[in-house]
This record gives sequence, C-alpha cells and structure tokens, in this order.
Amino acid sequence: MNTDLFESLRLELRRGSLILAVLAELRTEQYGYTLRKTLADHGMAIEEGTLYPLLRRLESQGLLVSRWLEEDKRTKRFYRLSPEGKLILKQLVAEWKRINSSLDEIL
Amino acid sequence: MEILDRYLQSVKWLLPKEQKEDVVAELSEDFRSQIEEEEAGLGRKLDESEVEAILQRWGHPLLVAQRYAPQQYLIGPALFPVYRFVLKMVALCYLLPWLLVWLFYGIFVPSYRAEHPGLELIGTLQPLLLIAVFAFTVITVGFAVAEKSQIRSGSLERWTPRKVPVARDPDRISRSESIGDMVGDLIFTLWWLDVLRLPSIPEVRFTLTLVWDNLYWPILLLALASVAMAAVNTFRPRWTRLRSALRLGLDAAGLVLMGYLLSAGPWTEVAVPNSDGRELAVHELAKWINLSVAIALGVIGVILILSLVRGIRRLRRPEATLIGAYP
Repeated sequence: MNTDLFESLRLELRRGSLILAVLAELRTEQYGYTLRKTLADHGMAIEEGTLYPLLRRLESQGLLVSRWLEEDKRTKRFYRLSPEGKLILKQLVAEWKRINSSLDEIL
Repeated sequence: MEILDRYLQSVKWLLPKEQKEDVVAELSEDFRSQIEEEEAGLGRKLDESEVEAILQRWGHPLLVAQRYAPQQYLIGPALFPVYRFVLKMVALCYLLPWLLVWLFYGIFVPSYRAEHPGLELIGTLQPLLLIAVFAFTVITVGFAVAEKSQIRSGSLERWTPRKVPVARDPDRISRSESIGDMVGDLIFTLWWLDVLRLPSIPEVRFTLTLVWDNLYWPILLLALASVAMAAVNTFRPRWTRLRSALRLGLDAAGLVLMGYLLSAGPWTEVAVPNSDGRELAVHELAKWINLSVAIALGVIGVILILSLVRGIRRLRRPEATLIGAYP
C-alpha cells in the first residue's frame, strides 16, 4: 500500500520535471529513440508510451518542431525546440531554480 | 515481423484518424531501433518470445493509443459528485420503494403470484426497469448538457465567495419544514376524524378496508403526536435530546404501522353502482389504486427509515461539535 502510494507520488513529482528535461534535451535535434536513451542515461528514464504522446503535445503547443529525415536508410522523425520553445524553456529553467532553492530552504 | 505488424495494426485502428500513419511510423521506427540494439548486444537475431517481451513492455494497444487521444469526459469532476447524488436519490426515493413493494407483493400476496405465475412475475418488473433506464438516461444527458454549457459559459470561473451556500446548523429545525409538516399532519388528522371530506366522484365509491379500522386509534394518536411535535418545532426550532428521542419514537412507531399496513393489503375497495359489463375495468381500477397505495406506503416507509437513521445519528452526536478537531 505504502509502496503504491510512494510510486504514485513519485510519478506525480516526476511528471513536471520530465517536460523540462525533454525540452532541454531538444535544444539539439534528435529523434524519439535517441532522446529516450539520452534521458535514461541521465537518470530520467521514460517509457515510449509516455514520451511520444508528450512530444506530440509539446509540438501541438508550438514548443517543438519536427520533420521526417532519412538516417541509415530509415526515415525517422526528428524533433527540436521551436523559437517559442526556447523562450518557454528559459522561463521554466528560471522557475525550476527558484522552486529548487525554495525547497532546499524548506527541506 | 508479423507480430509487430499485428500490434501496430491494432494501435493504428484505435488512433485519431489524422494521426494514424504518422504515429504508427514513429512507433514502428522506435521498435525497430530497440530490436536492432538488443540484437547487436546479443550478437544474434531476437526470437519471437523476445520480441513479444518488448511488446508486452509497451503495453496493451488500447493503452498505447489512448495516450494520444485528448482527455474526454461526459461529466467532469466538478459536476460528477452532484450527478452521483441525484442518481442515488432517484434510486433511494423512487426505485427502491418500487422494488420493495414488488418484493412484498411477490412474497406475501398469493393472489398476485397466482395472477403472474412463474417467470411472468419477473416480467412485472419491466416497468421498473424501463423507468430506471429512462431516469438514468435523462439524468446523464441532462448533466452532460450542463457540463458542456458550464464549460462554454465559464460559470465556475465567474464564481464569487458570496455565492457559497450558508453553513447548515445540524441542530436547527427548518421552520418552513415544520409548518409544512404541521399543516400536512393536521389535514390528515381532520380527514381521519371525518371532519374534512375529500372531493369525490359520485359514480365511483371508494371505501377503506377493515385493516384501517383496526388501526384507527394508533394512527390517530400518531397523527396528533406529529401535529404537536411539528407545532413545538415551529416555535422552538432546535433539536434537544428529548425532542430527538421523541421524534425517534414517533418514527419507529410509524414504521411499525407501515410494516403492518403493508402486510395487510388490499387497502381500498372500489365500487361503481351502474357498472354493468364493466366489471373488469372496475377490477383493474381497484388493482391500480391498491398498487398506488402500496407504493405510497413503501415511500413513507423509506422516508421513515431515513428519518430514523438521521435521528439516531443526531442522538449519537456529541452536544457541541468540535470544529477543526483532529480525529
């Protein structure tokens, strides 16, 4: 019971930070699979079923742009930050730092 | 890779139309990249069970596709508690008494069972089922429309604290309710004493059966006590321990009377002096009137049970409510 509760609270805590991590990683253009691997290498593992719908949502909100490119004889969808995404990321990073320092004081 | 194609086909079928091709191509690409990487690590081709294991990790096609769909609901979280409350009230105040009366007829009234032998008895539940489905549909559609119009109008955003209902004092007795009870009980008492005559149809004679004669004094005493209690409550509108206990006693006595009455039907007889050739219609009329009386008694029974539960809770509550106390 406690494990379930912890897991649900942990996921809730992670949800917002994942968006920040995805936006930050997409300062350089990459496709879904490599993005997932990079995030996992940095300790922010994310399931395919969560990442791809999130990428779609961020794109529909105008924060990302995407295009199909051929690489190793296969077509892959590459994502990167849009100009608006860059601006929002900057604001989110500032907000993240503010929350972080507040939490540091509280904790 | 047949299993992957089948999997992607299932996901594709469930996706929003405009995203189908795009999403499936992207998922397919990710899946193939995963397989390539695992095969490179193992130095061999993956077998079918290993491919299946990857798909298993991805999850059911329905779950995968559902994440691409916009969040949709018929009745949102703001209106849902009210919707559930209305459904409960309809079930409790209308459908449950109906069901209780039906059960009572099925179990205790042999003539009713004889009239509807075997499975035909279950068939008599049809009106109840139709009413239940109709009520559920109307309430659900009503709330769905309210949800849509509330989203469009943004009424919840234009909220002000002044619109919050006044806090209810659990010990306060509503004066209007007491006056209503007093007037209702008084009219009933006067009718019971034969002082007040209800309008009647000259061609049709309704008479109460003997069961009411046997209960004449208990009903009269209960009605007089209810009138007195409602009068006191009108002028001193707060529940005291004594009055709560008296109310509980009156409700319990009322419930016993209802139980006895329900088990002693039929309650009315109908006679139409010049009904030559229309005996069947008169019989049907009597049947429906008795059924209405049974439903009315059932409803009163449920109201009394609810009142009893409220009364018991009231008596078990500490004298002063501790606001903000930890449990």
